[in-house]
Amino acid sequence: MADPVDKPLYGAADTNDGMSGESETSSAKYLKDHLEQIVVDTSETSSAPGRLKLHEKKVAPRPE
Amino acid sequence: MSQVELVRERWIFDHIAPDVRSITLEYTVRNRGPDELFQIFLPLNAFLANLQVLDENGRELNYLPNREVERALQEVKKEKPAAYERAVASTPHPQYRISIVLPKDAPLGPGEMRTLRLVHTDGEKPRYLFLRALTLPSYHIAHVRRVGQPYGIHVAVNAPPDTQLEVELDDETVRSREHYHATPPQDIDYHFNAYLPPPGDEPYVWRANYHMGPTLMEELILTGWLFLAAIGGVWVFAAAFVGGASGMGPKEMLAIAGGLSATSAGLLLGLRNAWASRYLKLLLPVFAVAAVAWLRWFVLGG
Repeated sequence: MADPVDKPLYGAADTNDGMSGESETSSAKYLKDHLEQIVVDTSETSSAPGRLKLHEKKVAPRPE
Repeated sequence: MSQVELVRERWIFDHIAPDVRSITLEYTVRNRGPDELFQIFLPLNAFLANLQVLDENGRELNYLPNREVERALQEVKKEKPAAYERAVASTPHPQYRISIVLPKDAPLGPGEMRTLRLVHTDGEKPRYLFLRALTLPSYHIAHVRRVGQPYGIHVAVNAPPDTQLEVELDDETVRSREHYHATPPQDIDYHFNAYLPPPGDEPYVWRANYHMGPTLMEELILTGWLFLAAIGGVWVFAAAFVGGASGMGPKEMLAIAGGLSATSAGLLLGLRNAWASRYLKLLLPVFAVAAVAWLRWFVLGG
C-alpha cells in the first residue's frame, strides 16, 4: 500500500466516511485498517506494590 | 501478520523515594515490512497511571483516546473477526491497549527502528512490610515468557542513593539459561539489573520481590533504640508516679528520663527520610512518656 495518509491523520479532526453516517477520526480509521500490521507482541510483564509468595526465599547461586 | 518486530523490552523502576517510583516501559521496535507505519498498537498488561509516551529523543507522542480505540476495535471485530482474534482477543489482557500515533514528520519507515517509552506511575498506594518499625514499601515484578517471543527483556531497579536495596528472586526456571543475568545479591547496593533471555521452546516464569530502606545496621540501631526508649520510658514514668525506683535517687532518674526524652526528641526532629514515618509515629508516644517522667522528676527535686 502506497500512502495511508490520504486524510488528516493526526489530532482529532473528524472525517465522515459518508456511509455509516457517523463521524470517525482518520487516526481511528488507520488503526482499524492496519491493526494486524501495527500490533506488537509484548511480554506479560507486570509490577505493582506488594509482595508475591515466591518459590524460594533467597537468590540461589548462579551456575558457573 | 504484524509488520512490527519487537527488538527489545526494558522495564526501568526509578525510585525518587522508597515509596515513590517512576516506571519506564521501553519498547524498541523495528518495521520489517514494506510500508511506512503511522501508529503502533501495544497490548498492555494493566492500566498505566499518569502515562506519558516519549520517543528516543524525548519527544512526547500522542496516543488515541480510549473511545476511538474501542470503536475501531469493535468494527474490526465485526468486519474481520479473525484479525481481531489474532491482534486483540488472544492477548492476556485485551481490555488494556494503546495505539501510539507517530509524529507526522517521523513515521516508522521500512527497516527503521524506534524506541518508545511509556513512563507512568503506580496506580495504587504502596504496601509496606509488616512487623517492621520502619516504613518499608515492597514491590513485585512478575514476568511470564511465552514461546515464540524472540526478544530479550531488561529489568532495572534504581533505588535512591541513601538506601539499601534488597531483592528476592524466583528464577528457577530461567537461571540455567544462556545469557540470563541477575545482579548477584552481594553486589546489590542501590541498583539491580536482570536480563531475561528469549524463551526459545520452553516458556518460563521469573518473579521478584524488592524493597528498600536504610541499611540493616541503621535499622537495627533505630529499632533497638525504640525498644530501649519504650521500656526505659515506662520504667521512669512508673517510678515517678507509682514509685519503685529500686535504689535510684531522683537525680539519677532525672538524668535517665532526660537522656531518653532528649535522644528521642533528636530523632523526632532529625529523621526526615520517607522510610521513617512509621518509626516517628511509634517514637512520639515514647518521647511523651519519657518527657512527662522527666518533668515529674524535675518537680520532685532532681
